[in-house]
Amino acid sequence: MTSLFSLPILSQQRIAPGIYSLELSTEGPFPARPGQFVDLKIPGKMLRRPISITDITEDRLILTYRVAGEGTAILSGMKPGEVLETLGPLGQGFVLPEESSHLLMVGGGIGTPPLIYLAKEALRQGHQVTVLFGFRSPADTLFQEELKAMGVDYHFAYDSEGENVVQLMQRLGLDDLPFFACGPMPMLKALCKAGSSDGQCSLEARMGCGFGACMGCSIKTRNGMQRVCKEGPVFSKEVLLWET
Amino acid sequence: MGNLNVVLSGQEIKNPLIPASGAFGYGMDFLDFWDVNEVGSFSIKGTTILPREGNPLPRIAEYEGGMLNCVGLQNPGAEAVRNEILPELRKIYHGKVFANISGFSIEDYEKCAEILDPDPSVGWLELNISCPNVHGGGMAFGTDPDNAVAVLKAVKAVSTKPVYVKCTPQAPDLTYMCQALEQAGADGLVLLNTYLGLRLDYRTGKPILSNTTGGVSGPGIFPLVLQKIYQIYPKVQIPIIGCGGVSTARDVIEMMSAGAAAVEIGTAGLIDPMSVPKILQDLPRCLEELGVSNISDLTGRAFK
Ligand SMILES: Cc1cc2nc3c(=O)[nH]c(=O)nc-3n(C[C@H](O)[C@H](O)[C@H](O)COP(=O)(O)OP(=O)(O)OC[C@H]3O[C@@H](n4cnc5c(N)ncnc54)[C@H](O)[C@@H]3O)c2cc1C
Ligand SMILES: Cc1cc2nc3c(=O)[nH]c(=O)nc-3n(C[C@H](O)[C@H](O)[C@H](O)COP(=O)(O)O)c2cc1C
Ligand code: FES
Repeated sequence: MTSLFSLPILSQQRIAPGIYSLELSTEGPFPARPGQFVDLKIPGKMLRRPISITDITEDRLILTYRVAGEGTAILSGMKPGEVLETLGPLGQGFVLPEESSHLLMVGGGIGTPPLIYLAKEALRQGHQVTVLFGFRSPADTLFQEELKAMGVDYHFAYDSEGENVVQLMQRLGLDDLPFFACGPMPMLKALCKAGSSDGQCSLEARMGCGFGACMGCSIKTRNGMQRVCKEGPVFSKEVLLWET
Repeated sequence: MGNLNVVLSGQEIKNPLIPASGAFGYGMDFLDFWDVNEVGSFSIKGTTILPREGNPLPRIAEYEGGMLNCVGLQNPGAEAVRNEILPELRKIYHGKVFANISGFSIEDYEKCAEILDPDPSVGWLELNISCPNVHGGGMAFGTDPDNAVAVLKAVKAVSTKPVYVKCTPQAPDLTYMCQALEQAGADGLVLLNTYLGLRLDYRTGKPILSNTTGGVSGPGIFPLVLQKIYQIYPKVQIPIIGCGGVSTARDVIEMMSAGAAAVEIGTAGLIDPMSVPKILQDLPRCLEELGVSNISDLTGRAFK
């Protein structure tokens, strides 16, 4: 159930240019599924900032964020011991298939974090997982250590080397696998066009409340208007219309 | 223990806090946080005769004092609200709600009122002639007293429930507007809807919101709205529901002192879903501090 938590910062670390890893202390595992997100109250800012869940351990919630503007810049200056008022878990998350299968996780840039938790969960459930992550350049690479430690099959694509994740997927001949994706809109669109008919995409929207009350984040889908914060942020490929 | 009851056009509600239209959905989204039956009433999302998808994204921007929105009255249409949503709402909420209705013609408002007025969950109609986010409707009626009066009269003719008119601060002469509405039979006023505002993206210099402009709400507008209530209260006899920027129990007291009989609260509940129950918890202490036993005695205290 969604609640407000006061979570102390355990550590904060710059892991790539402009990218931070944030560990928050929780009492027991944070009750979220892969693909759900939290909404952080940033001191001095009115609206909360939605951030996906990178991973959950027995006593910590791990987030990864890019300094994108004023709010995330303030966040990056916060110190261990400071407390973040965290609303969550929010949204519906990814849905893994019941029977074990070979699954593709496709992430671009700062869209990669939720796929770490998802890949771990998929492996736990006995699926075979291939991870394809795209970054601007090798210096921007995220999560290489985590992927190595998981023992999962993974491949990176770099814009600076002239290949994006969708091209990588095609080169590896993986375009028939059910995919789970998060990243920039153009990447998601291209992936839905080139990839399997069975796919799920996690979307972003500017949000007012984050919990369904304001209609600030609604998009038009084949199932009518849906709130990115409540029915989303993960949508199955077949309902997406890509209008906004 | 202070008495929090207030009466709005003959109907008593157990406290003066009314979550505002568009910031409370149909109550369902707050159930994870608190029992919505704690509030005396709430106002449902702006309803139009036909379903509306609303504006494209982005619909939300931020400022130091709160937010701007251009949701654009996304709603499933009056029939679906009555047949599908209000029956669900009754399962979670036992009080009566304000049916916030909007339209693009006088006939739209009239038809919407005809559909929602008979519903047992509707205690009051709230005429939204003040939405800044739709073209050729909403606020276009709220800035012209003749149009506003025409809408009100058409709705009054088909409704049995008290009709409250939600005004816009964009009305060139708000006092005149409110007096004209009172004369035309309004049962109450809701002051106010959002202020028209704009934010531009720092990098591109272009509007952030898809509709260019949006409605400004939140704590930053509180003193502006308070001034309008203070200005209108001595000029009308009908009850005023204050709305704009309320986020604490002290804000509620202050707005009632300026003349509000009850208070709507929108943005504060979006920023912190617990703000309404927190205010409810704090209000009795404020009354005790002030030595007031009935909160309704605070209404218009500034003028006593
Ligand atoms: C479901 C979801 C999950 C997300 N997960 C992550 C994540 O794991 N890591 C990460 O770095 N970022 C994530 N984002 C994007 C992140 O929310 C924004 O980068 C962040 O809100 C920017 O805030 P700011 O104050 O730094 O930027 P500003 O531009 O100053 O923000 C101004 C306003 O716009 C909103 N906003 C700006 N950019 C975005 C955006 N891309 N998406 C949504 N709102 C935005 C802000 O929340 C704020 O209300 C996610 C967004 C969503 C919707
Ligand atoms: C996201 C959002 C949606 C809104 N939708 C409506 C609406 O449908 N009908 C309406 O009359 N007012 C609507 N409003 C205006 C609020 O009901 C209220 O008048 C305004 O926000 C000022 O109060 P506040 O500062 O407490 O939010 C909306 C406000 C917000 C923030
Ligand atoms: S952000 Fe308010 S409904 Fe999604």
